[in-house]
Amino acid sequence: MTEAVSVSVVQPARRRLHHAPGLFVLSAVVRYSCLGLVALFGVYFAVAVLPGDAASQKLGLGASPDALAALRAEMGLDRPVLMQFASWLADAAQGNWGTSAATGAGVTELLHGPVQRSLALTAIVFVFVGLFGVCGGIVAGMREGKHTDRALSSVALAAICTPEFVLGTALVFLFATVLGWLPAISSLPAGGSVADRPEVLILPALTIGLIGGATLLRQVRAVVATEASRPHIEAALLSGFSTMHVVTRHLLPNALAPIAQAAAMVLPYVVGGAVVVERVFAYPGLGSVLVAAIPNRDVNVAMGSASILIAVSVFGYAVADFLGRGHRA
Amino acid sequence: MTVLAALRHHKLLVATVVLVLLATLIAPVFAADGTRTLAASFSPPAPGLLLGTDGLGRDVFARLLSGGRDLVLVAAVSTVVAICVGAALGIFVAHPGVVSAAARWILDAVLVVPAMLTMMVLVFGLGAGLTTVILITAAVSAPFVARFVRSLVLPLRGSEFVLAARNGGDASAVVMVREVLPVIAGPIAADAGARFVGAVYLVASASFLGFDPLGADADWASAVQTGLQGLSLNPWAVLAPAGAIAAVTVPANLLVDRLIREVSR
Repeated sequence: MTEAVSVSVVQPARRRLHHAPGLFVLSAVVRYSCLGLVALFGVYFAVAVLPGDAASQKLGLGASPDALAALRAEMGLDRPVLMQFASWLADAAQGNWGTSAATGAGVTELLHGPVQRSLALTAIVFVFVGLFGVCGGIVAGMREGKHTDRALSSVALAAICTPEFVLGTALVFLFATVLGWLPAISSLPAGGSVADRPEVLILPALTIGLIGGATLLRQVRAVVATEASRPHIEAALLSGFSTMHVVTRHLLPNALAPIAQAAAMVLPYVVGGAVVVERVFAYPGLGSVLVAAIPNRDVNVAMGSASILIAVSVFGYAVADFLGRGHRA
Repeated sequence: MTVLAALRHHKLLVATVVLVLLATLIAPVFAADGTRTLAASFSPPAPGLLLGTDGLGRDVFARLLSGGRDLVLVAAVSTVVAICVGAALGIFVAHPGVVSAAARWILDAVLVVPAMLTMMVLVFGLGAGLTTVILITAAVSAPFVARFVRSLVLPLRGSEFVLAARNGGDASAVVMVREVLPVIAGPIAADAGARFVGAVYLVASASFLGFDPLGADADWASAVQTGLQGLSLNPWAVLAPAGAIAAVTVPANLLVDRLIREVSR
């Protein structure tokens, strides 16, 4: 998961805008929307164009060039790629995400359930990220260099570089096979929702939460350790206030902005990590839809799910950029 | 501290990493044939079958020995390619100009997409096989290198020794190679370790997801994927390859983490 080891915001928006929040938000929205669109075009190109287009796929290897050309014209595949992408984009903007090549179902209806389930998963993930990343980071930072700090930091460092499917598998073995506390498979009964079996969310969320939280823990620890060594914190501790009081009243107000910024950066990671973790647990979320759609050459479904995932990731970076503007300016 | 001094400082970790990598590369030579069905699927360990069998009744131990080489090889070679391309790109985008601004934009657009997604999409679009996957992994890692190198070069551009060299009449490319590159080589080398761990992660995850980046189902990650359904019958079919992946990534990352901290000090 080294993607998150070196996360830092993509280049921040222009500095002179930092003191005008309205302008800053506007410029950030434009900038990040453009970045997202360029990224989306890349995905479109790789999925819809590189491996041979949908017409050659449909007719198979023995197709005559004439039949191929006719079908391409009919499907609009003889136009330049940029035009095809533009028309997909125009349709998508009007809420028409097309239909699935595999089942003929509308993409919007198809993605409805998975999006809800991914949202539920992400919510639980952030509970674990908060517990392990923020709380763990504060504890480690306050006890810098002590045993607690070393233990937490070591666990975090080991978690960061363990692929999600390795950690997920280890957790399944421990909690499902050996202890039997939690289900090994997070699939849901046909027509059932997550609310019927909330326990299936725990292991997938724990897997992503531990890895995503690990990156956060290291950042929060660094921020808290720096803050804790400042004179007013040491004075407050020496004058007999409880550590809890000092942390919540004196330390956190100063550390909150960088912590929030670091937390926003976890969101893009969660998007990527969830794609793999859903597969470990057979959880029917957005990532599973994408992983199934790409080899099926289901362009509309792949583009639909990819654009949601990319949008969420871009949103995370944009929020981090916005939160970071105060202490970078 | 230089990279070499830092490496000497962590002899135990360096030894562990080197041993694990060497073992992974050499082990296939000693592996028995892991492609034949020897017993019922997911048989537990028995005499002659040290770790039991997988879902197709094949020897898990033999497949463990042979399943890491391509993974590590792809990660190592693609890291070298990514560092070369990424460093050149990073130095280029650190310069002002319209073309480098456009390149910076495209880099940013690549970086907002989760690396796992880029990897998946490229493996699907361009196909499998060692050479292709080396190039794909390098392409996914290079933007990270470029961003890192840019952040190293930017503060140096206005520094006195660079200005002195430029005032001496050297072309800016010459200055970059002769003056700037030696200064940033240490941090880049430390970052290469992080990119290597990232490359193992990317190739393994793509393989786990069924995109067959290595062109066959013989690597550790696909062994984990296919073994999951038999976890309660023969856990070794999953735990052994999963542990092997962790044995490659965890010590390497521990070392890299220390190197980066000490080199950038």
